[in-house]
Amino acid sequence: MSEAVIKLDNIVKSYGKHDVLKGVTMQVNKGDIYGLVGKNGAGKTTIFKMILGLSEYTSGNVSIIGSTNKRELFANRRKVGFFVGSNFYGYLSARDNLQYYARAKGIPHGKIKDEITRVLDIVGLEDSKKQYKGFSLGMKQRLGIGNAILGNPDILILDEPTNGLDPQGIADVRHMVRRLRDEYNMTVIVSSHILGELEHTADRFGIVHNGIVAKEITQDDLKSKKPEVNIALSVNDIDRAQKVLADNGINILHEVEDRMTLEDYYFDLIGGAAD
Amino acid sequence: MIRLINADLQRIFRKKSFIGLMIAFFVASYLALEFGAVSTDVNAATYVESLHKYAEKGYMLLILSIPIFLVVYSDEVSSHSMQCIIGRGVTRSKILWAKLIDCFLLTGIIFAVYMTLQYFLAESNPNVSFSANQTRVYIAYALICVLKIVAATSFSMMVMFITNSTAIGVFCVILFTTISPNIINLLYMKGITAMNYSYDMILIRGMNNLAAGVSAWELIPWSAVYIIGAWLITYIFFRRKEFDF
Repeated sequence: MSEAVIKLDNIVKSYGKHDVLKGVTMQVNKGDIYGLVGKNGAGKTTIFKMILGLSEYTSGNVSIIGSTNKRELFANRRKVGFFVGSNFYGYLSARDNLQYYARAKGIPHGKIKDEITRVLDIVGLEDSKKQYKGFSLGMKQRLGIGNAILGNPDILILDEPTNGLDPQGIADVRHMVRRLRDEYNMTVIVSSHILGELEHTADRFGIVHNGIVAKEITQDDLKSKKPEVNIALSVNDIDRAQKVLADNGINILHEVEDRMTLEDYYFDLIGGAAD
Repeated sequence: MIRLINADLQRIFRKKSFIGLMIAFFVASYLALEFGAVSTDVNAATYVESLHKYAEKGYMLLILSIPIFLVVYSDEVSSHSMQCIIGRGVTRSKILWAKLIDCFLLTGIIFAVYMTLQYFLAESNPNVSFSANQTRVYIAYALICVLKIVAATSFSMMVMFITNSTAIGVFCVILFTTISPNIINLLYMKGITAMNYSYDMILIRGMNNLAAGVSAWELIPWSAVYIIGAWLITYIFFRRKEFDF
């Protein structure tokens, strides 16, 4: 049985009479890339706030690395890195911003320089000298992820890290997330409302709907959901093909017109990773 | 908490506009003291008297308080860096303590640099030679200024966190450093003796005592009551504050 590193047990969050979360129960296991999906306003960010202690839950329990005790939760949150958007000082460079957080997070003084160099290398900002306020959106997202992985946390929470990025940026984030799990053994929780994107990144999914995690599924569930065998035929005369199949007792469940995706065209043209 | 304070101070001293403003302030206030307020009769007594006036009227404090408030409190709120620190397991009370100590240290450093430079620049003038007593009073005024700025920014921080608005916070800095002392003075002169216990009055009394060579130890408990009082009220609102990303 896999070890649960984040566990939410029947979490309710109410603002007055309005319940934003109505009993969220979910479990993220060590080594997972867990995708949290749901439409805007479904409660994904609120779930993250509960885990990070930025908002108090009305009832229920949050457990981080096995602890539900308030004091231990504080200590265990030091093992959680997170990206939730821009949390940087506009007048500082990428390196200076990370230096601020490295000091605040208690990374030993002698290790700060090397740690920042390592992180900037992972997120591809090693040569940036600009002030943060002059960064492009993609650079800001990268620095946000860089801050999240500063100090090599055990758990990484990424709230819509591909928001506003171009296709290459999205693909880069996807590779980065996989690399962080595979090479640095991080457990990753990533949210997005771009389902196609998350499907390529995560291996388990929680679908947030109406204030609960309505369903948890895995990549295996996605593969095994349709038991029928799909055979793709390339035909010019569709009427004749249908008649031949019908004459031989083969039912046609649906017809699909084969087409390339926009992503396929894009990456064919400019090169880069679309896998 | 020490690591938070260290990170904050290093961050603040990297803000070029803040450092530039402080240098401009040092130069401008030196010129004002040297050629403005005491231009006709430059000597140690008029220097100390001018400082007394600046500290009491609060305009000098206003020019310093606003950038200190912005750089310690407001920048933190607008950058959302607090969320990152809390999410990484630092308690909210530690953050607030660190902010208060930051403010004390930063104001103390600024005044230590400013007053030391001013002192030696003034002494380079052949007409100015501070006696031991004048030097003591000179230092005491610096201390009063530090206390006043820390109190004004602490009260403004409290209002900023309650209202969630940095603009209102800055307005409060202006209110607490310049407008409120005049209002309190006016009320005091109208015979409203409760004003005796306002922090401004306590500071003015302390400053006058120090100038007269009388001890002003009562400043310590009163400062603790006012500044920590503001901190406690802030904490009550801050500890359950919902943070947005």
